[in-house]
Amino acid sequence: MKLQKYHILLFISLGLLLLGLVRTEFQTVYAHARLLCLSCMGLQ
Amino acid sequence: MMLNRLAGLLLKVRRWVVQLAAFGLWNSLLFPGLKALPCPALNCYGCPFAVVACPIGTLQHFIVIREAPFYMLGVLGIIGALVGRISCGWLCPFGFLQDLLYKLKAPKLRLSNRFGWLRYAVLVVLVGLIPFFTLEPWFCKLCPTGTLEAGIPWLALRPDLRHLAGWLFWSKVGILVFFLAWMVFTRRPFCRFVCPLGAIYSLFNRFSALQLRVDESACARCDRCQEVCSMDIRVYENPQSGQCVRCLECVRACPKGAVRLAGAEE
Amino acid sequence: MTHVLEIGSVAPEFALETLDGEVVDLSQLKGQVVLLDFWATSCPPCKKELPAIQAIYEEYGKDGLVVLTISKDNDEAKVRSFLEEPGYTFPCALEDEAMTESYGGGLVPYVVLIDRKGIVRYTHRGYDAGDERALISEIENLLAETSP
Repeated sequence: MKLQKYHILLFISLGLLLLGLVRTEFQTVYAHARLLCLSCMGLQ
Repeated sequence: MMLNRLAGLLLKVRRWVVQLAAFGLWNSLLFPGLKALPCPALNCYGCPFAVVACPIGTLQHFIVIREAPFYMLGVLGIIGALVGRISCGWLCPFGFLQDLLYKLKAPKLRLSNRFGWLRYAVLVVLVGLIPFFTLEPWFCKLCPTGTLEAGIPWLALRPDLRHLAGWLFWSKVGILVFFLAWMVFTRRPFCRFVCPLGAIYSLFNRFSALQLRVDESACARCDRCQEVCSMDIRVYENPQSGQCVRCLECVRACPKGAVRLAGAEE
Repeated sequence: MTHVLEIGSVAPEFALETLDGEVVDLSQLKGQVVLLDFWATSCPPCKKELPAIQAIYEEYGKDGLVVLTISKDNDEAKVRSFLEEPGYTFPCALEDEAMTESYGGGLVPYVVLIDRKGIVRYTHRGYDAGDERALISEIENLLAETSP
């Protein structure tokens, strides 16, 4: 199989994802997504 | 191989069924713990029933807190590299709403995609620069998806919140009403000219593993593809267009069978 | 979805450890007026409300008001440095999701006032400048009530 541009993008993205997982960014994503900040909803 | 299977499956199912199921899944309130997972489409995590995280809201949050969003960019990059902008066509509740409203009987306003660059401006300015400098999530504050899925439902469900509805909320409602009205006359105006998530996915359409291919010799330039296209494009002009949401309506509708899904290797 | 904490209901029990290592246990606070404030560092109106909470803590803490702010952030270091810069001294704990849920603390900013008998007497969501006046007036009323 010839190396395609999407392979490179896929490798870079997988790298980013792994880096994010190591940095436990998903915890920040979780905390923010369940925050329900009234300002973020445009209610304030 | 897997992509061929996916392509075959997508052509077998009705798209609205998938869109409806996706809307239900993102807002099913069954698994609250999933809010650490990104939604592949624009779905407000402020919705009282949301179970996944809006990727744009999340990116913006990381900009506000001045941290690099590796995790979210990685997820979006993986989706983009594999299937390009397909989430917009199949999994986005706001895209689904636009498809439905355009079906209403009304005079139609055809617009070219010349102003499609605006969505990149929204991404850079409203999701990036303004939140970076003001430390407030300005895209979310104005986002019509958020108004529809979070602002209005919360006020409807919770009388104790109604005192909060001020100028910002009513401005949001105004923006939503404007887009809802526009959706009746023009195909997917939000996706084509505004959506920053669509802008991100657009960048991948040229390179993704999944591609649309047009058989030039078979294509009769009859424009049937544009008539059915969710995004009002002529697929034969540029099958890799950043505006294509891979809804595959053209694949189904082409009288010559000239449009098909293919892998990037083909 | 976050539920509504009814005024007049018994405040749900909780015990939270503050960033200073002190445990705030509601069951040990009978006879005292308790102010809870749910907030987050990334929430703009919460940030606007905190100076008022600090002023209330300084003014009414000496009269026996117990103040506990509950941060919905997940990063303790970030909360610490956030509180340090403006010199906030009110007690702060990181949230316990079950406790937040029991108080309907999903939408922030959110304050809850509990009287000496452990009854929820006042709640308020959102913050606009001046909102603290109603809260202060309620605090003064509750502090004036005699212990059970």
